[in-house]
Amino acid sequence: MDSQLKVIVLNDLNILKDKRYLLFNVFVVLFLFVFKYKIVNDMSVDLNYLSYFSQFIFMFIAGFVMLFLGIQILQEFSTQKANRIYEVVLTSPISLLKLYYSKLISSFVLVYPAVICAILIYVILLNGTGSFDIPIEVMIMALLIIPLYMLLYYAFGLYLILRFKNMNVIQILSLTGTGLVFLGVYGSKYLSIHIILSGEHLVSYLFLVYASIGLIIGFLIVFTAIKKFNKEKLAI
Amino acid sequence: MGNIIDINSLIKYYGNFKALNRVSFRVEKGQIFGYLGSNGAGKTTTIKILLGLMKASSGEVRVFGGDTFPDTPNSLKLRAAIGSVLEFNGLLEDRTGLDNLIFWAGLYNIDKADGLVLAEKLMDLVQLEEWADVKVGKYSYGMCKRLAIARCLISDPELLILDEPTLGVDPESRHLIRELLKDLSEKGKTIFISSHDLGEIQKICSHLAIIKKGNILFKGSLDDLIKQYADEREFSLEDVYLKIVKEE
Repeated sequence: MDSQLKVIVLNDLNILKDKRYLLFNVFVVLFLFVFKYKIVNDMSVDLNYLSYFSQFIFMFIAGFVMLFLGIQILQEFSTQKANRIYEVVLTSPISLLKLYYSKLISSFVLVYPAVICAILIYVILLNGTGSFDIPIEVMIMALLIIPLYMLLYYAFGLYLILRFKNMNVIQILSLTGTGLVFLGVYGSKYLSIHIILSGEHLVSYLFLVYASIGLIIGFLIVFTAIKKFNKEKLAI
Repeated sequence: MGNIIDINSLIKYYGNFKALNRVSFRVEKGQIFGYLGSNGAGKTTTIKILLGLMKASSGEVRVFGGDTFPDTPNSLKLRAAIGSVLEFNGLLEDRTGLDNLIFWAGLYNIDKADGLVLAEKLMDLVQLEEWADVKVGKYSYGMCKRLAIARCLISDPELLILDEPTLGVDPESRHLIRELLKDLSEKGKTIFISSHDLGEIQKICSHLAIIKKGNILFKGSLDDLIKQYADEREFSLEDVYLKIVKEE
């Protein structure tokens, strides 16, 4: 890894490791999901539905953990900008693009282990109930595609933080993110009912392909925007 | 002697507002160059352009003979030879003073072991050795300024660009900073210092420029200023500065 990039990532790790409330948030999310699963399980609904439901939760744990932690990490980066740390950093021999990518890597490196932990704990709990039956497509979705979508969200969030002077941008970003997740969960409720009725998988390979194409387009848009980013906007 | 900073007809607009109007001056190697002006005169804008944080609207800005804006391999190389302290300190408040310096050393590609040795040396230099392991959030303003100066020295730069380094600083810290700058100048470093602390500038600068509303009113050596505007026996930079600024 490039040494300047490594220095910034390690520095962020050191700053955020002291903020233990971040870890607490992961447990809150996990607890909510497990609690919800337990209620559904105790209601002894249809086994098929239970299986879909466990897959559904498995998939969305990653998204929720990344959103909860991500928003707070972006908030921290936004505070660093307000303290004008980036302006000072840019007087050293580091380019704005490298600073941007370092921050993006930091946010992902900080959050992804928490996602893995949350998923592992959930899997262990599911195994305890004897209802662990997650297809490979759902695993790819939970461990790769959804985290990458959240990375895209971080990439967009970081762009907004570096681009705009108004710090309310982070509030707008967090509200939008939360809204999108709830919309996704609400929308997918009907999708999951449709899938259950049709007897199909919750996530098909075709769905993964479409999701990947959406991901590539999203990253292309953000990276095109950041390449045109003018650091003067950060310094004025 | 070669020019370290060479500014020719520099113009900078913020929208329709002209912040700098045909600013021109040169800073030669080894000089302590004072850049004087009231708030909003254009000092910080000039400094940000010199540091490559902003683009000039027109004119030529050369540092070590090259451009510091935009980010190119060459401009990054030039920036590695500049140490700067901006008006705000931009320190990492959640980390200790020593960690701040080690982080900064890393940005200059200095490895962690060497960075630690340098950082400890610099903490001694700015008399913060006892505060090395304390988080910067607990430092006083003057201590933060001293740490920011230590930070700008970590890469042993040829040129120091300091924006109001003694603003709001206690007399002890001010004295320390002044002596440090004199020492650095004796070691051949070039120092560009912006301030409206005229007493401080008079004590350390050999050359200066006075700027008002984006226009340079005077540039030259302190001796030239005395010859032109004052009686050497009772020279006060403050009186001369006010005379020049009011004449305009």
